[in-house]
Amino acid sequence: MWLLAAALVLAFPLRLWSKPAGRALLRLPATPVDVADPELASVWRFAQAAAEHVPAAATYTCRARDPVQEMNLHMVSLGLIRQATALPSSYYGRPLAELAGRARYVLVLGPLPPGLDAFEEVATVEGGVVVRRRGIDRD
Amino acid sequence: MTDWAGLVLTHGVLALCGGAAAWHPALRRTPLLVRTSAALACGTLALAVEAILWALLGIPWTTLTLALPLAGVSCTLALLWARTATPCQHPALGPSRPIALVAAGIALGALAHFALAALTSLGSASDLVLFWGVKGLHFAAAGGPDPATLAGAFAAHTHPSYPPLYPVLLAWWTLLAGALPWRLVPVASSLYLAAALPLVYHLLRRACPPDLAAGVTALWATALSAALVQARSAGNAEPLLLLFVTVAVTALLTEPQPPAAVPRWTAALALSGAVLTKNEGAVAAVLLVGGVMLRDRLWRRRPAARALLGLAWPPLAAWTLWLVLRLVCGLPLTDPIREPALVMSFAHVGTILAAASEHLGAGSRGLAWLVPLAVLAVRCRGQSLVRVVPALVLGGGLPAFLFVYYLHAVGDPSQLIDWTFPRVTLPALSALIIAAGVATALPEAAPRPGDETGPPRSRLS
Repeated sequence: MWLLAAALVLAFPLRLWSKPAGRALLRLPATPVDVADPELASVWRFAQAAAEHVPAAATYTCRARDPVQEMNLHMVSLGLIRQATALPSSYYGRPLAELAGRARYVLVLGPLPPGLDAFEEVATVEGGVVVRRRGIDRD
Repeated sequence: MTDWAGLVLTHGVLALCGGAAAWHPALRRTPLLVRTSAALACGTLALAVEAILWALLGIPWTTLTLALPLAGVSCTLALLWARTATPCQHPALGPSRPIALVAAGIALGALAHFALAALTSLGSASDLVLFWGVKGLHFAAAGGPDPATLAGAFAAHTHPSYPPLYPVLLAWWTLLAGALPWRLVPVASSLYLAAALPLVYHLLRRACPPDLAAGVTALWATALSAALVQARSAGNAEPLLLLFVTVAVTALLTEPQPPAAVPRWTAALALSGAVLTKNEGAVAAVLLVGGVMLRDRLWRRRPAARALLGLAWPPLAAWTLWLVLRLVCGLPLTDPIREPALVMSFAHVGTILAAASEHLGAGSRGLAWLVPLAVLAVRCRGQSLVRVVPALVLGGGLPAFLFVYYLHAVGDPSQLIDWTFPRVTLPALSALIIAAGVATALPEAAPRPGDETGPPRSRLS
């Protein structure tokens, strides 16, 4: 009886992997969460690409249209941009404009928002743009 | 070093650090897989305890400061235990060949499902990239629990009050391999699931015939593998929590009566691991100890206090150690982004029941829950049910705890339930499967009349 029950439960995963949609998943992902959370995966890809453009000991902040995405980008960046210091633009939706105003670099997820006139573009990467405060060659 | 080599090295050294367990008289004559799994589990627990002690003493975490003392203690204990006599083991008779082959095939299929889901990121946890991995990296860089970061104004999302075992393990991985291979961390979770299988089978064999033990282990593997993928828990702390809680449950349900020293040590150490892995581990420990107390009362066993103390003090000591570290480092004692305690809204009851019932699929349309519940309801009566009371208390208590927790939600609790219910109920599912298996076995393993080592007559029988 137990083996029969075990085989029945195993049938669900077997069915999943035998379907075309399941077989299509059989590839190495680019991020740890490609399939489980595609939205977070795009945040990850952006943060990973942006990390190369933020120098050591710099300060940076994260911007996104959606406060949830902005928080996610901040959290993910702490693991990927270890060389610099994060100054969040918001924390769980609470704006922190004064703190973020001290950041030298801004990682913008999505298109550039208005109000970043004091910044110049460093790089356009997958999913967004990295900008730097004008007049700063390096930190 | 390649990422895969780092994975093997990290866990291999960890198993060596806990290797003494493989020479313990209770395990020395068991198959290599059982001994290796025990060594990995003990090494993981020992690493966490040592890391907390070093943080309290101001000793920085490095590969040498973490590995050398553990290896030294492990070698010494292994030498000591290798010289002690091995107690008489239960019959080494295995399941019949067809049963063994089918059970092993099913268990391997279940493991392959979980490993594939982890490797392709189908079953990966978002929390790994949001905070678990980040904490591990910070711990490794700071050479300790990094109180400056964790106590900061913008660290609430890292859940600084969460127990440290898993981030310590990730920090250890980072220190040893030189970097944290993000995409492989979820794959390591399948190692913890795989480590649980030989231990569960070995412990079940103390109370179950070999064919039954093999069948229950196979069901446990398929049910938990499917549920872990459904709950997207690869890379989270859940697989480790499951390993510890399941070993504790199985050890307690299959212990001889009256409990000997070794089985209680197994459960006590496993509960210590659970307490240091997740806060739900502490809840599980309290429920299991409470369940053992209740079972003792039902068995009308008077001298249970000493055995109960032997079970409770190691997890209590582990919890106290973590509490002291938080106090010394100025870390919050409660989770700053959780709702205040005892401020409940009973208007949530309908939402909680509806949302929770939607999340009982466990990757098998609820079959993983239905099988053990049906077996317990239909086939188990009286003494067999009393024996598995600790698991029943856990199996019912954990969802009840969650229910009360969701009553605290500010606003609609649906999203909180979506995030947590499938994961947090995994130990309850595990406990119910083990309980059903052991309870089914009892008629065959029931003590003979007049057998002094058997459980006394129950009030329920």
